[in-house]
Amino acid sequence: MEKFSNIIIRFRWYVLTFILIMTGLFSYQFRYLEVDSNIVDALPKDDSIVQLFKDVGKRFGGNELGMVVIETDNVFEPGVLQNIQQVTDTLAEIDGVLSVTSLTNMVNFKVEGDNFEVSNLIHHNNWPETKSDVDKLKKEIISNDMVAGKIVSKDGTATIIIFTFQDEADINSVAAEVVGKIEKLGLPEKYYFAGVPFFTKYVADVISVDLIKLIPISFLLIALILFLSFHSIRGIILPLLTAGLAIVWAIGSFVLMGLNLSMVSNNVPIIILAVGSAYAIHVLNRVNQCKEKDPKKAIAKALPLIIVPVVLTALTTMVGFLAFIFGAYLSMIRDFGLLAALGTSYSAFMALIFVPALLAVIPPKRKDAKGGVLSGDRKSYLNDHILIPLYKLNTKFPYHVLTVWIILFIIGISGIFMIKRSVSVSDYFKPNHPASIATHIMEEKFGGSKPVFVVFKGDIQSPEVLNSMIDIADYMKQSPYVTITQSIADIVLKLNGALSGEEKIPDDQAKIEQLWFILDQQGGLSQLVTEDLDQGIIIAKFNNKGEKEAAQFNKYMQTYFNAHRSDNYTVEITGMPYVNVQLDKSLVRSQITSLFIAIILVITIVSLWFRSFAEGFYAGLPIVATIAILYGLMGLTGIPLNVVTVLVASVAMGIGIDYSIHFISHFNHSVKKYQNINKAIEETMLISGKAIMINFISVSAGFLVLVFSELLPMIYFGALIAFSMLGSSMGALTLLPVTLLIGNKKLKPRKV
Amino acid sequence: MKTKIAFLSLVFFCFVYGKTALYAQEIADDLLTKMDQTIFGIKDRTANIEMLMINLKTGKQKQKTAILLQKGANKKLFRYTSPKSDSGIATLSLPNDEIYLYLPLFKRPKKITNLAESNTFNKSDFSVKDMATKPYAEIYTPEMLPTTDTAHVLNLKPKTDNSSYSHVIVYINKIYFYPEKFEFYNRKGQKVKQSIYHYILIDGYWIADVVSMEDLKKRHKTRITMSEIKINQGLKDELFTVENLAGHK
Repeated sequence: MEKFSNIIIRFRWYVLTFILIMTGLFSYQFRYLEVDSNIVDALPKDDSIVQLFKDVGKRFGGNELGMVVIETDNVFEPGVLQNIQQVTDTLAEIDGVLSVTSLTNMVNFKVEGDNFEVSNLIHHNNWPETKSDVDKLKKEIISNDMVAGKIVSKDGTATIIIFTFQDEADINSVAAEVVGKIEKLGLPEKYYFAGVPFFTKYVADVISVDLIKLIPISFLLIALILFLSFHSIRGIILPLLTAGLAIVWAIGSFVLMGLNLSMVSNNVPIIILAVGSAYAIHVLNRVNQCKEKDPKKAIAKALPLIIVPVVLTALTTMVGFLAFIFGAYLSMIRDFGLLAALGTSYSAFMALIFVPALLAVIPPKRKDAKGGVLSGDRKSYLNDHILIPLYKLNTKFPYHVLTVWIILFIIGISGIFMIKRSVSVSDYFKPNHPASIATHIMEEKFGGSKPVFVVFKGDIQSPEVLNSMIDIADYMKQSPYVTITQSIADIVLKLNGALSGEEKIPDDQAKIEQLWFILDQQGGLSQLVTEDLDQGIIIAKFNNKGEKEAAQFNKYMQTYFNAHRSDNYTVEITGMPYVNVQLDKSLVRSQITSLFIAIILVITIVSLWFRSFAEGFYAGLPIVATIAILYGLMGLTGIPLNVVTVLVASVAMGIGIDYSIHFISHFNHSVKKYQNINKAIEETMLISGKAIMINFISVSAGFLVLVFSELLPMIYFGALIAFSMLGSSMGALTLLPVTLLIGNKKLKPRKV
Repeated sequence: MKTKIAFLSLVFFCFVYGKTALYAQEIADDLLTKMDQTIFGIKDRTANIEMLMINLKTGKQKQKTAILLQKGANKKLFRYTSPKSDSGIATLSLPNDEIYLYLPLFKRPKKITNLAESNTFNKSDFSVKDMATKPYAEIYTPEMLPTTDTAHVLNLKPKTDNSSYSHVIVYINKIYFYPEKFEFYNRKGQKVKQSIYHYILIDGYWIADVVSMEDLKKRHKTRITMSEIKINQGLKDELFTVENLAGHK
């Protein structure tokens, strides 16, 4: 180990030059960095429900519909119609927009005698002028079930303009242009934007703001805490520089691997900041504690003592993150695990290579070289007010401390059963965010915001398939979760009624084929039926948020499908509520799998490293207890488990285990030195405990900055990580020493 | 004296410029009228029509065939012969935008009042307005643009506000005055559609036998090919009646 230290000191300039060049190369990759927040893209390709959902999106354009939601007193007022027309025209002229459907350009047909009239639903030449005209038009449109609840709300106070994207369009930039152009019109009605493209845009916007605004704040806050802790510029710069380099290397490598940042992995820079600065703090702390007057000798002596804990903590933290790769359902969670693991490995590399090399070039001033524990460190606020009282508490009342932890653990376990789960994208935003308001309007006035698709494969022009579409749509509407449905069968039914006087699906397929001659003149059929007429869909809207209700609805629908099978066509069902059910199941599965893998691996690694299962077990105790309390807190406070908070436990374990490892490593060293357990615990608490406290305060502060994010999962993530850091650090400074005291009774205690 | 010369020069230039502009407008009007005369020059025609709709994104194609009977500019009868599902369906266009549709299985023909601007003609890339039979000079005001080697180029601006196009650029053959190409621009000034015409000479008249229209946004193309074209046969008015539409087998 000392040889390794000497090599770094000897070749310090080469080391620094290499790191500088590599940093330049990795920084260059940032120009290719993209943020992809589309949750649909992150769904697994091998899940049949997801596959069908993506297939529907591709064939019928359902997943990439943009919607402009307009809310006003009465959409049928001529001024409002004028503005709807203006927005319709504005959308149609945007590059990347393929088609626009609104109240003012929708085609309608009606029959009077032998006259079959095809016209715009509301033609601009016939806009109402008087109040009675407005009322008449409103009555007429709202009684049209092809439009009411679909394009215009039944109370006439809201309408939606639906548009589709061209194949080659950059959906994010088109969505941004749509928002910009409509806001620029400065129209008096309230305009909101709904649909996956806008939600993705909103999330991407928040991520960009978070990256630009919150990460620097987090950096500054950690810098301030480090300054207050170390009272030296070096104590701030080195940990932050180490973390900064690790972030650049990790993101650069991530981009080189062809991956994009997402709403999950955008947290990683803060995590690396926490982990990376901690490794550097421990190295710096060790060098500072060394008795040697010559800085280079101090580095050479300190480094071998810290290599093991840093490598071990990095390894266990990486295991915590890599566990996501095995248990994750969403690719964005897998990417998060990978990026965080990369960042952790680079952080350890920087702490053990870059920090000593830089210290060898710019040596620190030696404060004191008298005793094992520097006198300057003994007198500090942390020692006097936290660490020494905690040490006394642990050694005087070990069983009381243990009992408190057991009680907290039990409360935590009981809270776990109350944890709610939330996977809906609309739940990511605060209630006053435009995305939430748009969702609320869609749910209140348009029968829901989540589409459900019933996919028919067969000859869509056959009476059997069309009648089945009508029957299934009626059956869906008998459930409490669906009020609005739309299919090609509705149009055939209405058209046949208009031409033959019988509002039913014709029994003769030839008749249906002739009706299709008229249908071919209409636009918008591609959203309901394929060009080859071999697939068609019922589009329904699911009006409930819960995944439990979605599962119930699925069961309800499967009962029908099982009872009504046909050899001539197949029927399948998919949609966002179904994907959410899968996502919901996966959250629990992924959480259990990744956590289980991580705990087992971490305890195994620590046990092997210390060659003692007992020490592996001791190291794992504070983490397991903290995670139990964390879950309990989530259950008791109603913080839901979602695609971001699902990461908290493993991240907490990955970072928290470091505290235990540093503590045990130092404790073992001190026990050998003093052959006295109390003395060993005292020294460990005052040296490693101080580093743990500083790290806990700085990391928590860094994560707490996330509470200023616009995305709810980020807020919860920041707060929960800070809480888990409190739990882990307190676990390492109370539960761990107490278990070590109780478990090593044979060693001679010393009077406190 | 200098002021007088300057004033006279200004008057002279204004006169010359004004005269030139007036002359250019006259040429443009004249060209458009000649183009209309070429298109609508024949008394009647019959032809077999093949309509090929091509999805340029997927490469998928759909074909329809029909028999066309036309008298003057505004009497047109399409009787579909394939695909099988469309066989027997017929449409009749009469003056004043009167259109009738006959679906054999629904017995009586229906009058179609088509007020929808965006409707396409039989799933083709021609909108109902693109298929209009009115002379262009009635709908557009022409402006001269620089010519090409073979064609005069006119910028056609709609005379009314309710057009879905901001302008249309037409390339008129310099020798025979038939339109070779139309470019349609939306209100933002983006080219959204383009049609190309091919002509053959029949009994001294240039008749378009292949017309293709491409929707550049939807990446969809329609090609209409006419065969067995016969002109000026003296088609009777009785052929273009609602009764004939339903009675024909």
